[in-house]
Amino acid sequence: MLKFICTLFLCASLLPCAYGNELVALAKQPTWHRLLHYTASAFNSAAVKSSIHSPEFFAASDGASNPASELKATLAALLAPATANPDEHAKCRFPARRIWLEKQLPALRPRLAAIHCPEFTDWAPINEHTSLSLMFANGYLGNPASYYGHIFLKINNQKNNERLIDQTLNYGAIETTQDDPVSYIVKGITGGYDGGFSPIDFFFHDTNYGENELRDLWEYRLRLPPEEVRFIISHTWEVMRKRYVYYFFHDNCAFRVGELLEVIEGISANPKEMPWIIPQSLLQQLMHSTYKGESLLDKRIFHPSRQSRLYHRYKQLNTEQRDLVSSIIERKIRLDGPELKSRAIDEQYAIIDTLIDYHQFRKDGGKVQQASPAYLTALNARFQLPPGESASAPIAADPPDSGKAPSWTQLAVSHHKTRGEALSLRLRPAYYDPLDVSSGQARHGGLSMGDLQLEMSHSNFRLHHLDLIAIDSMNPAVTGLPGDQGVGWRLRVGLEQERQNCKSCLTSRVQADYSRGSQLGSAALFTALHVGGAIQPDSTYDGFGFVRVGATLVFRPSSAFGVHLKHELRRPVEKTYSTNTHSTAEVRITLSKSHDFRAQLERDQSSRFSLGIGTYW
Amino acid sequence: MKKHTLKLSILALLTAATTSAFAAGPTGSGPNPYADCGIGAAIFKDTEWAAATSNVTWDLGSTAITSATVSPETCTKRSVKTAMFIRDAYAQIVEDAARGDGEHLASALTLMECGGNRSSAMGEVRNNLGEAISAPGYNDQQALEKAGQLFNIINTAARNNCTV
Repeated sequence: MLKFICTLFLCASLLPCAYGNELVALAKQPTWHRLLHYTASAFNSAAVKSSIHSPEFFAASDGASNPASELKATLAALLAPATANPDEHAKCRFPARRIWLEKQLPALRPRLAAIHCPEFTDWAPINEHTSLSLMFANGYLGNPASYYGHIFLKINNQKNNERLIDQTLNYGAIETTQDDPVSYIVKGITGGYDGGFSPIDFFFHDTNYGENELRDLWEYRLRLPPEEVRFIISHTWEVMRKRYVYYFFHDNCAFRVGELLEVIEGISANPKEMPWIIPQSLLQQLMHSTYKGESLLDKRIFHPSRQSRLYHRYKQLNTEQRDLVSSIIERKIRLDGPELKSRAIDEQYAIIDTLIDYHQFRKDGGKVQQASPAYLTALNARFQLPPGESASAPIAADPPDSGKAPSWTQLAVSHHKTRGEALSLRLRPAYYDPLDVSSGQARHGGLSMGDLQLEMSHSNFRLHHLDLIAIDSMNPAVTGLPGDQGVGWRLRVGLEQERQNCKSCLTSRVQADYSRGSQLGSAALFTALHVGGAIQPDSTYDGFGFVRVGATLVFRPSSAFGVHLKHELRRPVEKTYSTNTHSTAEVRITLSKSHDFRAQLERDQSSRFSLGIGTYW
Repeated sequence: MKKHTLKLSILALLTAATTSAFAAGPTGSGPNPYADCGIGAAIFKDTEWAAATSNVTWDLGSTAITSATVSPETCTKRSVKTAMFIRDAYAQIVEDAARGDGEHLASALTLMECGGNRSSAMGEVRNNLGEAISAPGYNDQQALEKAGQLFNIINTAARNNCTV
């Protein structure tokens, strides 16, 4: 090392002459590889390539694939004389590399000392209060990219916790807006988009998620020493606006944010050896992650959406107050009438605030610029009251890490009258159904991709079904007020057997339904009626497709036990085929956090009964 | 052709009226970044479905907007950020003001560099905003006009009441 350092001093302006064994060894350090996002080649384990392909991310022309060359060039750039614009100097462009090399090369510390970087300091004014949080936005069925939720990094800089003006770093696919939904999904899955980090003020997320998309946010504040916080933030500056390749299932927001934390040696943020990474998995991993013997998680903070706040306020009203809210909305009584004015101030607060939340909940995703007259009336009424708020209990919600792992495999035995006994294997890579839905997911709903079930009997294989995608977007209609009356939809694309009693009557189908659901008394009991149908290639039993009506009931008093009943009447579009019914009854019992037991009865013209044990992973 | 010219004239008049309303604002409110700094209508509200959530485009923050700066004194990074915050969090700030307090209103005051005596500033915002939203024609304004009006109200209240 001494030889290397001495050479550096002698050749300060001609650093390449210092390229020696020591430098090569330094370039092999895992931290250097993490800082440059090198990954091993699939074909040659000795070769590496950076996940980033922006030329400005590298100091050397071959830096994307040559760690030693990049280290040498970086060091030379860091030791170069000051530039007229300090932001253009390597010390400001690569602040994390500078910090790391300063530690590795004690003899060069004076020359590797930090300089003032105006742009970086302005973006992230790091101080002793600065901390980092992982932010999780609940899954959102309005956009395929957000089905599994979203994760971004927040830099908490405010002494008084004024989170709204904090900065965030957001990873996503870029330049996607010109593509239609199908191209968007295909390109998102196959690496057709670049991805990257962009700096975004937190208040944008607060409004976009909480107000427009009605998604709760969960904050996972990290416990890290100031030195590590500084190092991570410095690295975020290096990767900001640099281009990666985006892959929806693995190299996505969760994985890239996890990588930012993993630049610290000893932190393991991303689930390992998983073919896909779902944001919730990162949070579950975080719950087990430690740094220097302490839990990496400091605390969780819940940021409820407008919808959650409305439901919470509404639940706290008594029946009489709820009726009053309903009557005002339906214009049966006036907001400035005696029915409200005669009430205690706290009651007036609670009722008007519920109305305000209700009208904002109903606005069209932030697209309507004009406030509704009813909203303005409620707002005006609130201004007429003295300032203050009614006492309110905090909103209770299960954190998204508390749920099960996202993937599920089930081994079952089944019986059918004519086909006899069979062994069944089901693989659902992701994500949930109405019986195992957990926090952060659409309650009573379902979302799965690649759900496959195979049966084996007497050495014969039979594909029971393959859902490329199945979405059950249910709305519980918690308030039952106009505009919150349980409108939902379902979409299912894949292969399935037309009937239980056929040996092989597999057909491909696209199914879609409109539904209206409601809670009955409590959140534990949910029912929905649906109308829809399917289109398919001409097939034995239902021709080119059918229309249908049906009903669903979900009874889930706790996460440990649930029942799901479905019944539907199908009318084939062509008159030559007969009307038929399909029913399913399923019971689920939680055995542990990672195991469940299910009994299922499926019935059309015949019945199939199965018992299975499932494992979450 | 006449019809077209008439339309253009009306548009020009409306634009001029809007701009002058922003620029002038209430007495003592000073210049307004919405008019002076090229802040357009709410960006994210018009975001295409695919660009929402995880796929926000580069520089949704202040960088792109500050590049449109025409008046360096008015268009500091901080005042642009404040203007964007008020534009994006408009409803929550108004609701906070109606209640008399709240984190969105508090953050707006922080961005206006209101260090002390914040409760007086909040009181003034509440009074003036209450009058503004009950005034005839309030709801006929475009979102950006409302944001400009709110910016001026908070700015004035901060200047009248706050210590740095």
